Formats: sequence, C-alpha cells, structure tokens
Amino acid sequence: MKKFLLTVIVVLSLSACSSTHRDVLGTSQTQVQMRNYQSRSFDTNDRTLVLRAVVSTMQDLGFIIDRADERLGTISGTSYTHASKMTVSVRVINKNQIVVRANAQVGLKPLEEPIAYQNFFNALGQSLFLEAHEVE
Amino acid sequence: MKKIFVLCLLAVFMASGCVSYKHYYKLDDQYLARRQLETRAYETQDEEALLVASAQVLQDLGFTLDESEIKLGLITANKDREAGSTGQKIGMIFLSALSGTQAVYDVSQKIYVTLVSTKNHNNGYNVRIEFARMIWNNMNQVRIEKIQDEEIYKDFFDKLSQSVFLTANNI
Repeated sequence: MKKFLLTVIVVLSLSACSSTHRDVLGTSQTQVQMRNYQSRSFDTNDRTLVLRAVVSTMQDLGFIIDRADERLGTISGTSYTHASKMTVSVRVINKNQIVVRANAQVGLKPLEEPIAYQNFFNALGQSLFLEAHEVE
Repeated sequence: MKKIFVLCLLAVFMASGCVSYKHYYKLDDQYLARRQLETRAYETQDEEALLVASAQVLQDLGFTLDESEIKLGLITANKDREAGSTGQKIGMIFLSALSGTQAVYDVSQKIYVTLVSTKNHNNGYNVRIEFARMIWNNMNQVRIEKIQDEEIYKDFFDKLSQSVFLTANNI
C-alpha cells in the first residue's frame, strides 16, 4: 500500500513538472510555423510610421494600449472588444523592409488562429496604405 | 439516463473545441465613426506641449500615469474608483431580499485610458483618446467594457482645450 502511495506521489510530482514546463515553454506549433502566420513584412523604411500605424490600428480594433517602447519597437495592449491581449513588435530587416510580428492570448490560451492575425495585418496594411507580405 | 449524460458531455466537449477566433481583429463598420468620436484636432505644431497639456488634464481627472512614450505620442493612465451608486446597491439588496436571492451589485472599477497624438494633414496634431474599464461586483466577478458615451469624450476634449490654453500660459 505504501509503495502504491509513493508511486502515485512520484507520478503526480513528475506530471506537475512536465505541466509547468509545457505552460512556460510549450507551444502546439513550431517556432517557424508561428512566426510565419504571426509576421508580415511591409515595403517601407519608416519605422516610426509603422509603429504609429500599429498604435492607430490597435485603437481602431478596440485595444487599450498598455505599454510601448519606441527603442525596442514593441507595443502591448488589451482588447476590450475581444477580451484578449496582444504584443506587436516592429523591426527593420533591410533598407526597404520592416517586419511586424504580433502574438496574442485569449483568456488563458494563446491565440493560434492564423485568420485572426491575417485580419490584424489587413487592418494594419489599410492604415499604412501598404500591402502586407508573408515572411519567408 | 447514463446515455443522455454521456451525450451531453460529448456535446459540451465538442462545443468547447469549436470556439472560433476567425472574426477576431476584423475592422467593423463602426470603426471610422468611433475614431471620429475619439479624436480631436489641435492647431499646434508643438506635439510635446500638447502631450504635457494632456498629462495635466489626466492628472486633473485623478488618473495616475502608467506609461508614456513621447516618440510615439503615447500616454496611458488608470484610476480606481467605486462602481455603482449607493442608491443602486440599496435597490439591489432590497429586490433580492424580496426574491430571496443573493444581491449582486458592482463594487469597484478600474478605468483605463490611452491617449495618442498624431500629426494631421492641416499641419497640426490630432489627439485620440480611449476609455475602458474593468468592473468588479460583490461576488468578485469581473467584466470589461469600452466606454462609448459621446458626452464623456466631448467633455474630455473641452477640458483638454482648456488645459492647452492654461499650460501654454503657465497656469
């Protein structure tokens, strides 16, 4: 009986470890898959313009901006329409292109619906008057 | 009975697996009207002074500033306040005493604000503000909502116009 209890405790503690590992570092897709649908490139070299367009798009979509860092190129906000949180980063990849990447969570889950990100980039493209390209 | 239970359970699992996020982050038909309500143009070329005046008016209204990023023209702030009037609470308690249920009423709220300035086409600056809030009730449940009351936005911009004038005159 004692052995059984010990085994149960060991199994439970092991499963707790693996669950914590999954919660902290786990994703259901590969990094490449996620970056693919969470990123778009825009043909411009004006980083500030893109950052400001991200803020404006997030506002159009009903986000309240929580924080922004021009130097790091990140903007985070909470959507009061869709009860979700999003961080958007903007980085220059070459002289003529800027990559925008967004990741969001809804409630206690990551948002893994590519169409939702597509909607976001469409709105951003509209605000920038630029076409969003998929990132290779 | 057991069969029905299993079927219900299956239906619940299936429904929970079918939550769709495809409509998320799509611009709706109202976004331009909302943008207009939330935005006002100011005839100034000094963005920094406009943001200083904005911070002043937020302080006038009792907000504490969370974040500011001058290079993006952004200020975010929040304030905690009581939610619901005493009259409403008494009314709810009275009603639930009559119906024999537990009274549910709002207790507190956190009001969030995002303020952004952007250069406009008339050589001035636009200020866009958004208000939202989280409301807790006495059962510790929380709900969130965007504040869309036209009067609130109009009053805010009137106060900001006044603040621009006062700040420009060092008052």
